[in-house]
Amino acid sequence: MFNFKTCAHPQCHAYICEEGPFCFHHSPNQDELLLHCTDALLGEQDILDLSLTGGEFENLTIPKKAFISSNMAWCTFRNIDFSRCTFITSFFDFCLFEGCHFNEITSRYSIFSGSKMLDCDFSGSVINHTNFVGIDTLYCDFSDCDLYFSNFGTSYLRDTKFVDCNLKKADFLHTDQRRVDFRYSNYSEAHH
Amino acid sequence: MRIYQHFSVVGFCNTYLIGSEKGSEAILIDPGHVDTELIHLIESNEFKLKHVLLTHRHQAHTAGLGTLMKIYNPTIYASAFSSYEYPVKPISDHQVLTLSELEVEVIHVPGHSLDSMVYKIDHALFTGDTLMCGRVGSTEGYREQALLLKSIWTRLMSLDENILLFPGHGTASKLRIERMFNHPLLELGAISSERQNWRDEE
Repeated sequence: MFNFKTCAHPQCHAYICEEGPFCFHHSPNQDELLLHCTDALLGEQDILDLSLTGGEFENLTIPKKAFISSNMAWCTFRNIDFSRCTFITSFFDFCLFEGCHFNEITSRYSIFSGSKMLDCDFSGSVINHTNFVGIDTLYCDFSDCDLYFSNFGTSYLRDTKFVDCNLKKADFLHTDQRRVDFRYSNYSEAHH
Repeated sequence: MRIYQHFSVVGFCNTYLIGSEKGSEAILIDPGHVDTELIHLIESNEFKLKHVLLTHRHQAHTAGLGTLMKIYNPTIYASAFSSYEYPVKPISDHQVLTLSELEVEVIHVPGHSLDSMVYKIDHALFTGDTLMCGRVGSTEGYREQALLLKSIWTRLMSLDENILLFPGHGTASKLRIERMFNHPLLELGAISSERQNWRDEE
């Protein structure tokens, strides 16, 4: 699991980056940390125990790799292609995802809760036990996904497609849905 | 610290395997069902399974105990409120255990059941059936529900909001997420405070 030490800055409870006593926001060498993280994202190796909160990333194509036990909460991702990546127990809560691709990903026990997702494509993915609670989507596509045990509770879904999905044990309780398409999906087997 | 999550298809329960590093002693929380996948998880990490923590005595969380005892013979820790068919070391609220080089804080959160225990290991909270992603545990009646909500607000929600939440069922979460989006917690909390105000006015 990523490092649970919290930032040395007074009153800050965010988790530190891999090295040093500060979180990304309070780190004196943000550029260096961001560069190191971008290199790791673009590299061949899996991302294990990485922690960087509040970073901004743009126009990247991530090669097929696994994100394991990592924390990238509060980050901004614009035009990032995560296709065919694997996410295991990784935290992407309260992020902004804009124009991102998650096609054919595998996600288990990961967290995207509280994130804003604009024009994102998750189609063709296996997304089990994944937390989407409180997300805010616009023009997103979850079509052809296995969403077994994934939780979309309390989310605000607009112009979003869930066409031909497995929704067994998925959770859509207390969602606000506008122009959401559940064609050919087993919505009746989800909690709603 | 390494945390591995295992999903039991029998009781839809999450089992957690925790060890400080590969080859170290390990703790297992809620063995709902022991299958080859879980055994492989233990063995591939070369863990020496020494301790089992039970969040409460419900079949979905304890059914794998028999198999585990035959293979690893671990020490079982559970609330003193329940009895088991295997020897169990009773634990109580506020107790701090040092198991497998990890410090485990015991938090009693009654409501779902009288023996419900939550375990805090570093910044990870293993909540069993007390607090889950987007919901709270089921209760037998409104008195138990009030007790559960009070216990959650006073004992869990007072902790750091960045703490990671690993529940007995459903997806992982963080305390901040539950503070913001847990509908029953927010809704029933509001009813409670309105009633309090009404009493004050009276």
